[in-house]
Amino acid sequence: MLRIFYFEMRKNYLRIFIIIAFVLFLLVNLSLIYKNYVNGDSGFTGYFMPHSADTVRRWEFYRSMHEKLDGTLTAEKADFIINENKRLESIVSDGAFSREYQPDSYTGYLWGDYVMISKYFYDPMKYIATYSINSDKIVEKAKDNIAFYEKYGNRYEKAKNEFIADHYSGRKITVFYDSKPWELLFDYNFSDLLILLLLLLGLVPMFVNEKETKMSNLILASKNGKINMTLIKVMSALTFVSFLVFAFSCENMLAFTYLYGLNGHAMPLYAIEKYQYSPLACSVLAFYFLMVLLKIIGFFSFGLFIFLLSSLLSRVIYTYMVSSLFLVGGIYASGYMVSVELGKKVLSFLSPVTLLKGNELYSKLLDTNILDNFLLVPYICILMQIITSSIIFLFICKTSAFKTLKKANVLPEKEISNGI
Amino acid sequence: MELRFEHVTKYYGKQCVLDNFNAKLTEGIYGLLGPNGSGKTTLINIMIGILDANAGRVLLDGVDVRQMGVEYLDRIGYLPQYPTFYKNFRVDEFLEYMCALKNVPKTQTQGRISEVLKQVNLTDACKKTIGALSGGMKQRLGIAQAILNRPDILVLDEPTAGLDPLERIRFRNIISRLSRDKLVLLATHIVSDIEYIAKEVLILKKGRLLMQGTPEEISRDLTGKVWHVVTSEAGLSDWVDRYAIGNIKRIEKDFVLRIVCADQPEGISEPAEPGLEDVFLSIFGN
Repeated sequence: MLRIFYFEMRKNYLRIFIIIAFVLFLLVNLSLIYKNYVNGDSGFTGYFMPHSADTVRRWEFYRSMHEKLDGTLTAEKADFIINENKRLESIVSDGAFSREYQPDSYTGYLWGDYVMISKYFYDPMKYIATYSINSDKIVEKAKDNIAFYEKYGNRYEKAKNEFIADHYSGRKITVFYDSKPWELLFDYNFSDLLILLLLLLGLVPMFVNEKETKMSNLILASKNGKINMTLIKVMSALTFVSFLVFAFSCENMLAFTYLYGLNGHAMPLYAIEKYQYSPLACSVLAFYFLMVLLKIIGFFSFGLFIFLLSSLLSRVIYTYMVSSLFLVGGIYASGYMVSVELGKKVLSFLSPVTLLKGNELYSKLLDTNILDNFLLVPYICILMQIITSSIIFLFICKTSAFKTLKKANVLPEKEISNGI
Repeated sequence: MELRFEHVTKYYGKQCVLDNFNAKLTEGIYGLLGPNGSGKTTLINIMIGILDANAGRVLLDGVDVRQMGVEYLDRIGYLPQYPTFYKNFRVDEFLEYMCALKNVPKTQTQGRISEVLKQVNLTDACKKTIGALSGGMKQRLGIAQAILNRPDILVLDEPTAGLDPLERIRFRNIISRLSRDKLVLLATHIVSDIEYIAKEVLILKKGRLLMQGTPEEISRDLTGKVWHVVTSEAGLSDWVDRYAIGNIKRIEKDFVLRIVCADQPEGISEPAEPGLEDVFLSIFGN
């Protein structure tokens, strides 16, 4: 069994063109992360400024400040930032401050100092310090709502507010770290496209190749080929998908750590301002692993669809074409995740691409009302993918090149009656 | 060993592709002869258990092969029609895979691979990738994988298609050597593949078994019906229109035709020794 599994991997994935494509894509991915790092996350309009000769001093200041402030948030650290922010704000508030180079300042210019302190330290620290107060207000409001909706028999709203009261209470952030690199890492999705391309390369020929080489007959006419070959193929695909997601996720994380410095692995997810309303209260590192897991489910689900096409169609080119169309449709449908129309929402639930967007699924409380029940969108998406994947798997078993694999062909009647 | 087909019938939709096929095979080489679409591959697929018959059964030594379970597959070696295998695999790697599929114990794998490569004269190509092999070498690799599990029954579907004459002869010789104590069923539409090596020939036409017998027995039916006729270039087209022509040979200005005809044709003609090709022509020719 293990030997066949190994050869299944060798046959489909350990091929020279796939290995070359994999290495090439890793390099392309790395180049893009570096390019974004050098140019800033969105050029000059993004959160991070570009890395250039002009910004060297500002970046040095940024890093030295984080070295000084990162860790548990203390009153001294907070006072220092508040005082510095006040001082600089008073200097720049009347607009009459000096625009000349100031050798004794942090960045060389007074306005630069003010922007750096307020944007990168004062505001984030203020968010962290006030988070628990804001969170408690939300919980209090939710508790009021529970009584209100209970009175009027609105089951969905009551359940939603109960969830909020339960999951958002007791939240507080006690540490200060640079959370923006984590946010950038969670939002970075170019590697997903590369994985999808590699999946197309690796999975499309899976069944078609057996038919084209006439190996499907040979496999069926051999003793161990009679065991569930489809299951072995599916298991090998899961291994391939997991490997790709793991490899690219590791590369992304290592590259972001090296370039941006990912610190504070244990800080809660809601310490990132974008995730302040996230239903999850896990650490940022745990959330990254969760995203990896969701991606594995999403890619695997997409892979099974490719399998289905590969088992139904007789030419590799047709499978590539239809898979690519499905991919485009899937990407489009995943955009309906926050739509108010139920039909469009269902499309997004059905799309495996939706699970690749863990950052959007968990950035706020995404829920839906189904028959007056409060349901979290991420759970629905996962459930939908499990159901569709199971249906596709059963369908492949019925229709694949191994459809002649019938028990009646090979097993004694008593074994068939025993359901073996 | 006796392999018996009893009333084997197969329909694709409403089309009957195998019609009440009955035959008894024992050790030796059997040629399954018939044009494309005569039902050879369907019969083979039923025989090796990858296709269900609509009616009838296949018995090995009196036991229904369906009741034998996967043990039956242990006794079968199979080479499909026009296989290309996996081009990215090396020869030895591919055979290792086939050993895994055929449940050959891991400890015996290398020994078996060396053994079969020697038998088909491919030892030197052991480390070559399959994509780099010639057509003939690929077919020999096909034979090698078929005999990995030391089968009692060897089923070869159109094994010489696309091979040059030398490879075809080499292939025939390998089959002959392997046939000792084995039942070899060789399906082909090329008469010369089986004429000299087959113990018996089974002729299929539109899913029906027309004849079964030794090549000599089958050919004997045409004794006195095969003729060599000499004709000029001007009269050639007239002969071609009127008779089933097995061969046309030019000798200086004239042509010598080999024709199948119940009565002696007019003109310069003399009887010829019938062969399997003449039988094939008489059944499947116009």
